[in-house]
Amino acid sequence: MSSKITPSKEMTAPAASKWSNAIRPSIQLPPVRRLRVFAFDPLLGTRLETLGINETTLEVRWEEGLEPGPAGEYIEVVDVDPASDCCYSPVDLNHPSILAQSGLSPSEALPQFHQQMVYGVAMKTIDHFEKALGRVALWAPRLVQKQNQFEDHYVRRLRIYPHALREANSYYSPDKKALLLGYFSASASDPGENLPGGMVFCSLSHDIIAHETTHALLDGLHRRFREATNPDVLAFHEAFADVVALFQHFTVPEALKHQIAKTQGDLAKQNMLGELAQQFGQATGMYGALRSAIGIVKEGRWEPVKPSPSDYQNAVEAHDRGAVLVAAIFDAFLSIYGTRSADLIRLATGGTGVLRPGAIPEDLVNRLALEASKTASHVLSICIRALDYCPPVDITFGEYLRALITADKDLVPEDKLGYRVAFIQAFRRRGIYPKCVKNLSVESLCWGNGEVHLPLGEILDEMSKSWDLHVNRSKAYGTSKHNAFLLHEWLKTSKKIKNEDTEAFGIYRSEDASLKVNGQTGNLSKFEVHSVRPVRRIGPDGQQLLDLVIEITQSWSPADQPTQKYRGGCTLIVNLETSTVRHCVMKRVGASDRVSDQQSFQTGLAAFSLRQNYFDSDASSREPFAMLHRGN
Amino acid sequence: MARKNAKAKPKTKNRKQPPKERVQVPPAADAIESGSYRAKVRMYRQGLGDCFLITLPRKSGTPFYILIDCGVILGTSDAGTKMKKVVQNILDTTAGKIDVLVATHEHWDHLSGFLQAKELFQKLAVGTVWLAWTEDPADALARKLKSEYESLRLALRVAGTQLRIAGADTNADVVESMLEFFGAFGSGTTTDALQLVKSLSKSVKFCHPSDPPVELDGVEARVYFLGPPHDEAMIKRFNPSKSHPETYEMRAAEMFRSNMDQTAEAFDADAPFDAGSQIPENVARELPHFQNYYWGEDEDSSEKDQSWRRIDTSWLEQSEELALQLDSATNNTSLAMALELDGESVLLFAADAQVGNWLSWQDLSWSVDGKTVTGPDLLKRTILYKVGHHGSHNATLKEKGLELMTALKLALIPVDHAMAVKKRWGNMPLPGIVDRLDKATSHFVLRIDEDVPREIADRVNATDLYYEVSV
Repeated sequence: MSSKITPSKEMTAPAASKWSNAIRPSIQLPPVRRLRVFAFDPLLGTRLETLGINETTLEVRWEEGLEPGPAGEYIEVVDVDPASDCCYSPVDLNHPSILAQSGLSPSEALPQFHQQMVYGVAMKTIDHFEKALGRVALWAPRLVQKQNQFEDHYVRRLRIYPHALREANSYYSPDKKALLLGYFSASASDPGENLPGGMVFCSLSHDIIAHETTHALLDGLHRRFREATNPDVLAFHEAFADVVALFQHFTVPEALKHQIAKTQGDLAKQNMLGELAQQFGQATGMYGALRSAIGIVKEGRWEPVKPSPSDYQNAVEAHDRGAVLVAAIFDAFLSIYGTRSADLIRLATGGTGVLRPGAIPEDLVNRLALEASKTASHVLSICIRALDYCPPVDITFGEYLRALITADKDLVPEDKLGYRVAFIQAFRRRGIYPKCVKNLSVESLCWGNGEVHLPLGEILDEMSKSWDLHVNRSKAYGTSKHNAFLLHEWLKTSKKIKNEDTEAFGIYRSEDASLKVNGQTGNLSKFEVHSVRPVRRIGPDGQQLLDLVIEITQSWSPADQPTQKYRGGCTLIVNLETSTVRHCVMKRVGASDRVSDQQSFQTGLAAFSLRQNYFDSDASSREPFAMLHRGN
Repeated sequence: MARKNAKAKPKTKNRKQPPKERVQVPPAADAIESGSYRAKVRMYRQGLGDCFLITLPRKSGTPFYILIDCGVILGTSDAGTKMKKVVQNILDTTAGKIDVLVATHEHWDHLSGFLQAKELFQKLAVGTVWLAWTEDPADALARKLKSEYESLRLALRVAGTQLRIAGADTNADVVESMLEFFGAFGSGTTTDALQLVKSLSKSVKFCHPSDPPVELDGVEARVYFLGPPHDEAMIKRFNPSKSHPETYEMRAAEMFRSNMDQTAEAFDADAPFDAGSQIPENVARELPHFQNYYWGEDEDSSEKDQSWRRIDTSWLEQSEELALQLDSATNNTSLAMALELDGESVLLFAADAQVGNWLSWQDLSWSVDGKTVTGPDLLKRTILYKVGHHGSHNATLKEKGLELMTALKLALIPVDHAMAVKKRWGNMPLPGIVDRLDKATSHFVLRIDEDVPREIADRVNATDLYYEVSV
């Protein structure tokens, strides 16, 4: 075929070049790749009511050079199934027949479709992250021990094993930089709407794929967030992964409209948008979704959950506590959606605001769906952007609220629709309060500048700040590491910096490493500059500006337990124009209250595992998310 | 001067030092000397394992003897000799005749002695054998649990071996150490031991919490059976607080068992896809895609090696959790008993009961002499507690257990911490539990691996072979 349009040898060189464009007109790359997937999970196709919304088509960014697997820039899907002693042939999404029909048609029986679906959903999740943060996403580096030191190795792709486990479980493995998804037979006695004993695949659950991918993305940004130093940390990981999965529901237009119509636009009623992993939940005998942001199933009946100021205190176990955060964020979403759609409801009801019973007009469904999807996209972006404003270690929900408010204020200086107040109210209703703030106003919740004075100008000029959405990812990784190195050397050696200057943000640079905490003698590690990365902000004149996020950490260990680490650190957000610190988020290393809190949390009996009946070492922490998900 | 003084003092044995001040003397403090006692409880010191001989005085002369369990953990050095010494002592003490023999549940550290000292046991005359209903072949639920546990055990044995071969030693260690509770494969198992126990008497009683309390012949005492509950969900409940209380653990076991059954055979019923989609592993190894992304060198990374990303044994890692669940589920079949003296004081023998077993006691009630006795009543009147599961994390309930035992005077922990550490079970006993017991009893905690605390030295008959307390 191609030989026919290649200029023949007889054609003169000048002629060939003159008409080359005419002979081979350049074809623009497609902006997106269309891939069909199950909208939620295959369960919808078994109900007459939801049959029509069982499928949707994702528009995933076009990756040039996508290999069979699929294996692209961010992800490699490797379909080995050790339990079955076999592998499944990798799907080639560039095959003309597959391209021509927007991917393989959804099928439980075809492993290649599973590969397509995990790729599509994971790429969508990455998209949301990158758009919100304005820079390319990186996976957590692999730590390799060389003698006594750890080296960071760049990991280009997250690996996804769609059929890794024969159990009702899926997890992100920080050691393998991989998602391990499971398959299992539905309960024979209480399978819900599943076939008793029928096969259930995590690789076909939109929610599970998005949830696990989010764990990996979050780990790439904050690798200390998988160290359970207080009851909120692991709960935060879980909750954040659920939030991302939940709000991705609103990007599926067919399902969104269907559920808006079903609930007459009131999304606080039972609906699939607010519930996670329906098929998984039912198949494991839970009589409903695995988790819900809005309701609970009691004795087989769904009821809405009413918030109470004791919710946060009463939830001890990681999933329970995480559920409080998810509910708070979903509550904020519902308030904002209520504000944004109030005018539509007034228009539709002649000003009464009370809809008549029965179906609502399709025009109204469409307009409400638009508002819901816009709100969801805003809320999701706010939640993701807040990650840049979190402390590098030991996060609490209260600090996350402060990060949410500060991040949003930096991007949208004027809050006309009351987004920030909606968040504050939703957190307050569940008893989530930040420590050390005077009141719950937006101004008090925003991180201050911590009176940090550093002559940053001289070092900032040396750094490269070209980490955006277009840069090569491995280069971005290298730049960030180099910047961190420069900053570290400067903080350590610059004569212009006094020890008190770094102590102002909770870091000790002095040679003397001994520090007494609560009467216990101990030693400080050398401080580390963890990350240096850019973050966008909108200036007072509406112009987009670039700030720099700097994370510095340090740990303290008691002299008699040198392996026990109590970490501290700070996140500094630096104005690149003035070279001054705009926000300082500090968790002082060796702070006496935090050290004693961490001690009592880690020796407490609150955490439950059968291992503790015998073993004192927690070897299961090798796969921290596997046990959390096994959930016993 | 000081030295001379010290010499002049008569040497006292460490264990039998008289207390300097008597903190709190329970009613029958000097029972050993006077010979008047309501019950004597002898805790043998064979190692990590349970063996208790209870002596109840009888007006007719020979006392009433109850033996509860006789075992030591697998891996104990010279276990045979140790157990023979124990059983010989039982024979000597009881003149070769006991009234009741109790085997609480099917774990090696409670049963090994029946095999290790088989010949001696055959010399022992046993009035009645008491077993939990979970050992009753006529009980349908018991049969269901037995066959489930049995096949899970076999599946775990296969998984353990596969993990070991693949070099996943940490996981294999856990699986194997849980399986060791069923004895050594091939040479003597808990099933054999239970068989022997049943053969020791013509009268075997399968006990049930709904049974009326048993009045002991000629003694002012009766026994209430607290557990195991006749309820599958409670037997499989190990977690005190959970978000979905209506579901129970070990669901995963069902599929795991069938998987391990299948892997040996050619046809895999649990395979997720038709044979037509499957590329056998040895064929896939030769394909470029799987070379690049799994078995071969990784082009993307500087280190080339990608074995750290492989998942060959990941699916088997669940066996660690399942092994722990099987262990707890077996512990939950423990025959837990309350021995009531004079219609008042209670001695609580909890065996290795876990959360579900303990919780079920809350709803128990019996009618005795026209009065109603409830589970919580018995806990409230408990003066002596045989601590569950060697003092581990989950075998002594807090709110619905220890905190209800307001009359508690004495706790007995059959534990050998050094041995537990050898098995890498650093949490046995759990310091937090020991502390709580210590507070609840004002320091009257007796452990077989430690000297008798000074405060109770006068109440304990201590030898290398056993500690005996009188109440």
